[in-house]
Amino acid sequence: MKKIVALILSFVMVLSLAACGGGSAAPATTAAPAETTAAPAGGDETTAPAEETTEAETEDPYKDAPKEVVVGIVADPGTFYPWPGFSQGGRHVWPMLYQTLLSDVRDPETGDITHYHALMDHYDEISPTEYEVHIYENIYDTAGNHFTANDVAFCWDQFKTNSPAASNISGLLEWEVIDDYTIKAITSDTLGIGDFDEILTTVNMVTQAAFEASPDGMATTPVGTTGYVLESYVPGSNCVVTLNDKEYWNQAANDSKDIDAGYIPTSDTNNVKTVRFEFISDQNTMAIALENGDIDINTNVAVIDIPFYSSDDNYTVHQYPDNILSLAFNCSDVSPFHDVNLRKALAYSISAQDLLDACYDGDGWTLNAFAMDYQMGYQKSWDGRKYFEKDPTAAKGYFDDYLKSSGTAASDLKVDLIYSSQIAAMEKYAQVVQAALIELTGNKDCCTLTSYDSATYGTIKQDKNNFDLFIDNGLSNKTYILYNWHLVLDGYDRTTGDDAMFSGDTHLWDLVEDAMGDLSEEHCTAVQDYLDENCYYVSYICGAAYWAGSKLIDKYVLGAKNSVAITAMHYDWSVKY
Amino acid sequence: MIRYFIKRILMLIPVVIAVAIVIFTLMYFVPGDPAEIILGAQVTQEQKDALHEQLGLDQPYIVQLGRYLYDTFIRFDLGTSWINSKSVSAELGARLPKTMIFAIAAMVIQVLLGVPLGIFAATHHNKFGDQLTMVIALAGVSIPSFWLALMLMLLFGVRLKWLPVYGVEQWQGWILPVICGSLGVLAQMARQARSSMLEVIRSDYIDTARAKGLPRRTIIYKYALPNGLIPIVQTLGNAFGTSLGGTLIIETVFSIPGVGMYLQQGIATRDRPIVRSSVVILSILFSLIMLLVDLAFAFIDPRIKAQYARGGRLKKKRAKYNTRGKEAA
Repeated sequence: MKKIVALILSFVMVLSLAACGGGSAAPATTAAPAETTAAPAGGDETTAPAEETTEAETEDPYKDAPKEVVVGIVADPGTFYPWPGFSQGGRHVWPMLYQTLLSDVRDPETGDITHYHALMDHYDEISPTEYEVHIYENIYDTAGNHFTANDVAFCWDQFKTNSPAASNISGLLEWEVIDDYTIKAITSDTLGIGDFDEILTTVNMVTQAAFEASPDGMATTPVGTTGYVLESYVPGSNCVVTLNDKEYWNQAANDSKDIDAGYIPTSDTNNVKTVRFEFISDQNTMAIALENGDIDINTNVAVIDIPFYSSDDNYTVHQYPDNILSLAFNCSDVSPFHDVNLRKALAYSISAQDLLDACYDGDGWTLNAFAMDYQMGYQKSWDGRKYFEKDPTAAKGYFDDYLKSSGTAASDLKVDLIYSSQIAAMEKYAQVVQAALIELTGNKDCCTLTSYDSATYGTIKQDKNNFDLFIDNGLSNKTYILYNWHLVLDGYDRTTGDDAMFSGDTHLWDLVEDAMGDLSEEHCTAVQDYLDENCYYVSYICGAAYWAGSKLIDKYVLGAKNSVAITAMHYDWSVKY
Repeated sequence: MIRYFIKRILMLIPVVIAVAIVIFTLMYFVPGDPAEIILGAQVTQEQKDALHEQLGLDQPYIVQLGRYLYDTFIRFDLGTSWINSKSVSAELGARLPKTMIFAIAAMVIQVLLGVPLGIFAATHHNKFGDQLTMVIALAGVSIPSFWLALMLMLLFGVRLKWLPVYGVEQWQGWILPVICGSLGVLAQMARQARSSMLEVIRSDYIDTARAKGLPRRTIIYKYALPNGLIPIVQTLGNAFGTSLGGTLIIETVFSIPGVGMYLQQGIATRDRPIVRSSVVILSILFSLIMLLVDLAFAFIDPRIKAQYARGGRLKKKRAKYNTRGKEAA
């Protein structure tokens, strides 16, 4: 009797699990009806186009409404200290409170990455290692302190001395305050194109007076230069950011929407009065919270939920690029992949579309270069370039060449592929590569998959004896293509003294440094061509990530570092009030 | 008895120190360079070395261990997080109450429901009531807590809108997490109680009590239950200790900022101050709970209390006897 009841209960549980899987059995294969992304960018910096003034002229019927938006984020920021390390929660909250001298975000209209002069009017390049930065003269923080060049110097000093992310501005060596609104910066001579801009977008700016007046180094009492202040913070639970009572120093530009006057479409607007960030660590819980109306925006949408949100008129969905995944070879002598024929054999065995289908249900982009097309430095000519497409005949040919030259038998080939266990897509990526290798060699034991947590993975990859292949995770939200290139391809600047593939190829490193020098089409294309010719890095894909929200959200805007630019989004307040 | 209590408290010290040494050593050898995690991938060797020096990571193992033990047990300084520079003791101070609330509430439910269920099963042995109780217990042990959490959220939070789906700012927010967290141990408790009670119910003195014509309720609750409580209390103590640091899934699903999640974050980011301090604090708490369990044994069973109390005098008696024996020889 007990056994029968137990069996029935198990059956019911299995049925319930199946029922909980959602409405559609088929995985998402179509992109969500969302804003388009990834508009191609030119190779040079563009001036930002003027923002459409759709709301400026009409009176706002909800002018006096509370205009509160509730956003679900995956983690507590932990601190509001202006110069912390990375935080999954903080990256959404901190931009509401702090500004940097320069802000690089994707233009809401064109999708191009654009520089906005948030606190800085302009800078002059005196020499390749000397810059004069001129800040606006009318900046005030929310406590009413006047922001001057001395405060810039203070912030740079604090960042370099105390921030866990100090290495991000290691290229900034010294500085000197010239007058109240001018500061000279001396940089390292190894900085490439865009590196100084990157420094200017990195350090949050606060006034020294406000920082020193804070009892806890602004850990819970932030004072920034945006129009918003932290109203309350319940650790582990939520925080509330609200519009400051005092007039915002840049309100005139905000009202006029004039870019040249200093208006920033993503961070300078104040379309909301209050934003409450709810810290919800679990993806399923966040989905339920959105469905329940407890939050208005879900910033951690599971791929499996996209069909549900897309098909329901009560929700809106926004798609944006996730990270770039690519396959890297161990090109040192300890690995069979030091032979370019073997690398090419594998490259031609893999279809990037298959990878995208496996990792992201086809939702995302296959790339023809180690770059996103909206990043500065991407060349239009790369759009149609011939890349490693799956070609079993070519793969077989290269593999036979490898076997002949190495004297190895196909059955003897044994390689290790490592990946990070904390990025779900990487496991599927690894499985596709493994399957390709098995198909190529006819040996089902040819490829061992080993996963590590993120912290260990970073260390394991530093030793060429630990792997033959690894899956790389590159940032898609950086302004310049050079960021990822410099990180993994330039052996001159890496702690191992070699590039990530242990190729020892100084010619590649020289090409990267040439590209960093001028970001010209000639040099950037030379890097990409050399990379392909030697098959060092292949099979680039970029999956899609999503936000989802209620019908309250009319238009989504992507902020810096793929944060959700709450204040700049457009809302249909009639949904709420 | 008091001597026993003091002895147990003093024994706690070497246990906690041993735990501290073990966790320090484990974290020391775990792969993953904290400097790389803090500074990021693009960092020069000089910057890594500078941070190693700042954090004391360039010192030999024994020096680091000595400094850590001194800071923790002499200065009572649990350190600051390497990632966000926040005081670990302040964070634990904020998180521990939430974890304790969860653990205590779960324990209350486990006792109030689990024990009576077990008693009911034992007193209806091999009848429908017994089988039904055991099926419920089986379900409780088998159902994954994260699945149950989501089902309860959907039912009570979304469909009925009776309870919040996440967060514990309101008291209603505790209901679903506590139910999910207590179910497994409640089932174990019921099974344990049934097993203990069955053993006791078959004893001769229970037959004597029945023969005397005592009411059934009196037999069960006054004579049988106290004798069957020892294993139940043991299970309860273990469960309470586990729930202090082992409810990561519940904390994650319901977004409860407890010690479990804090510890998990520390492990993932190789934030050694967080991991070491959290484990030390949890080990102290667990040891205290085990002490309370042992004291509860003494309270429940007078024989055990006498044993604790007699512990010192018995040795003296034996020594005296041995001496006399030798003298006689």
